[in-house]
Order: sequence, then C-alpha cells, then structure tokens
Amino acid sequence: MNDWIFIEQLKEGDTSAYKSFVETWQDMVYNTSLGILQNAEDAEDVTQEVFVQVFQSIHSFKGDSKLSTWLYRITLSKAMDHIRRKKRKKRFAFVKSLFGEEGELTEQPADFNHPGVKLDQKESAAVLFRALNKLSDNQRIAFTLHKLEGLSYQEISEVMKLSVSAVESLMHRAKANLRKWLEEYYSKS
Amino acid sequence: MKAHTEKQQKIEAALKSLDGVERAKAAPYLFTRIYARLNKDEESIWEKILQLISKPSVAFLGLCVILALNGSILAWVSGEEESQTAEHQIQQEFAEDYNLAVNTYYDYEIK
Repeated sequence: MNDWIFIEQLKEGDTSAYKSFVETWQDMVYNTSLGILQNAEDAEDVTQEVFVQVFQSIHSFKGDSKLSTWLYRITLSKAMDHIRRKKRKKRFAFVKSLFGEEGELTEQPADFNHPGVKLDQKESAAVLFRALNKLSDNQRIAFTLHKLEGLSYQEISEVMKLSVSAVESLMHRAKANLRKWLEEYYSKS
Repeated sequence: MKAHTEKQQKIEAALKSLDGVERAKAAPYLFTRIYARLNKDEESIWEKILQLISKPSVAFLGLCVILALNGSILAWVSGEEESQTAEHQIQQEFAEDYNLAVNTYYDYEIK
C-alpha cells in the first residue's frame, strides 16, 4: 500500500489501518530491535513501544523522509533508551549491593543467538554479537542496520542523519574494532 | 603458524557469520498487545503527569523556580517598603517644617 494512503488512514484513527500497518512493519522493527538489544523479550517490548509511539505521533509525521526511515529512527531511539535504562538499573543495583541490599540484574547475560542465522554459523555469530556490544553506539547501529537489515550506506546515512562518507567511516572503524576484539578473544580461548 | 591461520579463519568466519541472515519474525498477536497498550496509555494521562513531576530533574527545576519566585517577590516587597518609608519620612519632615502635622482637635485648642 502507498505510504501516504497508510498515513492518512492512520491519522483518521482507522483500526484496520493500524492492524495492517503493524503487520507490514512488525518484522522490520522487531529485527532491528533484536539486533541492537540481543534479547527477545526486550526486543518485543521495544517493538510495542515503537508502534504505540508511531500511533500517538502520526499527526506529527510530515513526510520529509520515507516512512521506513522514520520507523527506523524511532526504533533505534527506543532501543538505545532501553539499553540506557538497563544500564541505569544495573548501576543502581550495584550501588544497592554496596550498601548490603540485594540488587537485581547482577547475572551476566547468556550468548545471544539470532533466529535468522544459519545453523552452521550460530557459534561464530554468537561471538560476533558479543563483540558488537563493545562497539560505540553509532558503530553498532550502522553495522546492525547494514548486516541485519541489509540497508545500503545511503539508506543508513538517511536513518542516522549522517553523510554517506561518515557512514563509510563508521563501518570501517566498526569492522576494525570487531577484528581487534575477535583476535583477542580467539587468542585467549 | 597453523594456530595463527586457524585463528584468522575463525575471525573471518565470525565477521561473515551474519551474511545472508534472515529477518527475525515478531511474535504472533503483536497487534492485539499493541492495541491493548495503546488504550491503556490513553487512559493513564494522570500517571504520565505524575511520572513527569516525580522525575528528580523536573522536581529540582520546580523547586528552583519556586525559590527564585520567592526571592524575587521578597526583593520586590522590601524594595517597595523602603521607598514607602522614605516617602513617608519626606512627608513627615515637610509637615513638621510647615506645621501641618495637626491631627486632632485638641492640637487646635492648644494653639
């Protein structure tokens, strides 16, 4: 369906348009969230938050960018917010533990397995996902969008509001950092 | 040498492990959950306001605004009082100089 027709129907509050909209974009939003958060429950939670935000702010969508670009931006912003919230909780739990109170979230998360990865590559992918956590936010976002969502550098530049050369540079540094971390990892193991 | 090659192969394999990855699928009935959440969010506008107010940064800002308002009102009132006192003093001096400070009938009698 044409983006504009979709948007107009959403603005009118048409429930069937809502449903159709979610069905069209849910996998894209979920897959992106999952790539960033590396946790299925968190990704589902963020996916719900994204669509709620979309429906609440659809009136402010002016159409300056593509609908998919707008959705990617909301998804990434929500996912990064979720990570920050989790980090805050961890810090708070740590401080609480210093004062002798029992804190949550002290356990290390298990290796993440993306459901779309081929069976023979699961092990290598799990190591790569661990390495992705060591990257800066922008490098991680660019790498995830490129590898998991198959976006071109041009599309990533639109989502991240950067120039294409800046995205190229981000990807180059991301690959170099990943290689460095993987070298250390495989040297130890 | 062999170990080094093996390590390099593992690194390359890890870097290429996401090539050809398929999109993860969202859980079924996602729309039902989103719709329920949307309605719940619409109902709890007061909760949102309370959440906003209870944020430490907002609460601190509110406190600062109240203190600033108090301070400015205090400064304004004391400034006005001072000017009123000075004005009153001038009036009194003027009345005394020209013997205008007759307030009671008794004062007239004495004169």
